[in-house]
Amino acid sequence: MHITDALISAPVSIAAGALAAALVATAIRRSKGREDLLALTGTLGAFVFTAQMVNFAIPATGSSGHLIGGILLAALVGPWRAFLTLAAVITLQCLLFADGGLMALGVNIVNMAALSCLVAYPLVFRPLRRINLTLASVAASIFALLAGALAVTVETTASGITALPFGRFLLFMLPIHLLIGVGEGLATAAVLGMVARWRPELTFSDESPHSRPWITAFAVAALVLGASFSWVASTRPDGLEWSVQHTATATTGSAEPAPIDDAPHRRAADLQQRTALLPDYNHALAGILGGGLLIAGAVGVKRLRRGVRSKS
Amino acid sequence: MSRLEQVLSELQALETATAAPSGAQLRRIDPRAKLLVTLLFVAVLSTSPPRPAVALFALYPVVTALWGGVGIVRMVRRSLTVLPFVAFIGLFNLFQPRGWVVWTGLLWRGLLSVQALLLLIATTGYRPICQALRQLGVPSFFVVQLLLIYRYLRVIVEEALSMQRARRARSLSERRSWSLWGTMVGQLLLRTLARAERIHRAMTARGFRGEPPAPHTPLIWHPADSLYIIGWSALFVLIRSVL
Repeated sequence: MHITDALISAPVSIAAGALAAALVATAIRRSKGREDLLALTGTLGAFVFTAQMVNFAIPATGSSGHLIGGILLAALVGPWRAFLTLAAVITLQCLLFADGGLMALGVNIVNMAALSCLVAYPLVFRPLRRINLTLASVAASIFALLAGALAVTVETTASGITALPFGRFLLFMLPIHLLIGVGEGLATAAVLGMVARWRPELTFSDESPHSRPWITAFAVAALVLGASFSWVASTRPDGLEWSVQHTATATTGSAEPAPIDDAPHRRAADLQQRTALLPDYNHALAGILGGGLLIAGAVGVKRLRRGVRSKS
Repeated sequence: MSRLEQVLSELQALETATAAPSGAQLRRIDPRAKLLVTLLFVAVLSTSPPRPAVALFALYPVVTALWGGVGIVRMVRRSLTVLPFVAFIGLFNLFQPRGWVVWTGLLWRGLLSVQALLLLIATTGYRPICQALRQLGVPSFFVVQLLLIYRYLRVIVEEALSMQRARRARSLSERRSWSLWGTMVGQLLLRTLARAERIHRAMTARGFRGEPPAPHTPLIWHPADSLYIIGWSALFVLIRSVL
């Protein structure tokens, strides 16, 4: 599920990078004073990396899947430490094996680590785990993977580098990730069940309830995100471009203006392309992406808080 | 060769075969400079419009590989793995007017940005990059995490491999069943947890307090490093804007 550099535009990369950095900072702040856990999360990171490489056969399909490990880690060491570990694994994969890329690093951390550890885990896994471990694992994994697939689609569309038709691509991505999610969920349940049997003291550890610092951090994240999107918004089409688009929509039904093929226009367009810092992209979708992420994050955080409060 | 063995040999290669020879000039450039130039390269590359001039960005990987003594053929072959994904995602561009120009540009940029990263690791090494990250302001907690995962990667992969070998030695079937996978990965996790405890005790006994161990040679910024950054950024901006 790694996105590569070539498919991500600068605004999307910066926005996701800022969000990822803010979340990592929050996770670090919440782990301060628990340096004793570094060895645990370090080896668990290496474990997740290794487990991602051991394929299992998906029964009756003939294909194979592998673990991503967000829900598994979150159930073992708590959501924030799991997020930090998975973010470090993704960074290592980027630096060492060039998976993803530097520009896409923030995007990948948000898609794979944040959505599974900080959204799917508190929203889906925690409420369901008292009912049934397998149910909770499968539901949370499906949720995490579908959210990830949705995020990938929205981010590539918002980047506007490819001409991917949003709806059709989503229809293609979701069923695949639904299947992978089932596989991931069953795998997570199998491993968690085994740990619960052999090392019962380790499962489902929750984190200590400091709530203040990371609320501030989340506010900072929101501000950073807001700032980067207002910058995005300031580069939106001016009135003329808007009306051209509007007319094009009215006459041809497509948002893109019909290509005008006279030489001066082409030269001007070329000049604009050269001088523009950011090539064209779909700012509306960027806004939706940011808003959606923020809402998902806020809901996840609220759930985390509630979980913490009911514990203490 | 299983995926695990492949990873192991890649890890090995990073430290020996494909990596730049330790005497290479590029090795002596500050890791921070190389990291920043790589970041700049990727950023400029991915924001430049799809025009034929984009081809000129290949100068950077070629020159760096030659300068750093990294095998170009291996590096290029390694970077090809990114193509299928980019080609697929960009597929719909082909149905647009002049879409194949955009599509080729996408593939090209995908290749070059992967090559830039591969060269960064080959000419710098993982630990110096982490040191550079630390000195550029990344929190030590995260950097220690990066270093620890790297350090135990090989150990855990070898553990998994030995488990796979043990299974093969005891059973005739190559079939990878569902329950077997659960047992294998669960067992691997239990072994990992046991190892983590031993490591933690050993680290505490040696005085670990959450800071990364001090490097043998602290990074020193030379004028040549500034020159390295200025030279490359001038070239990137030139390719991006003038050509």
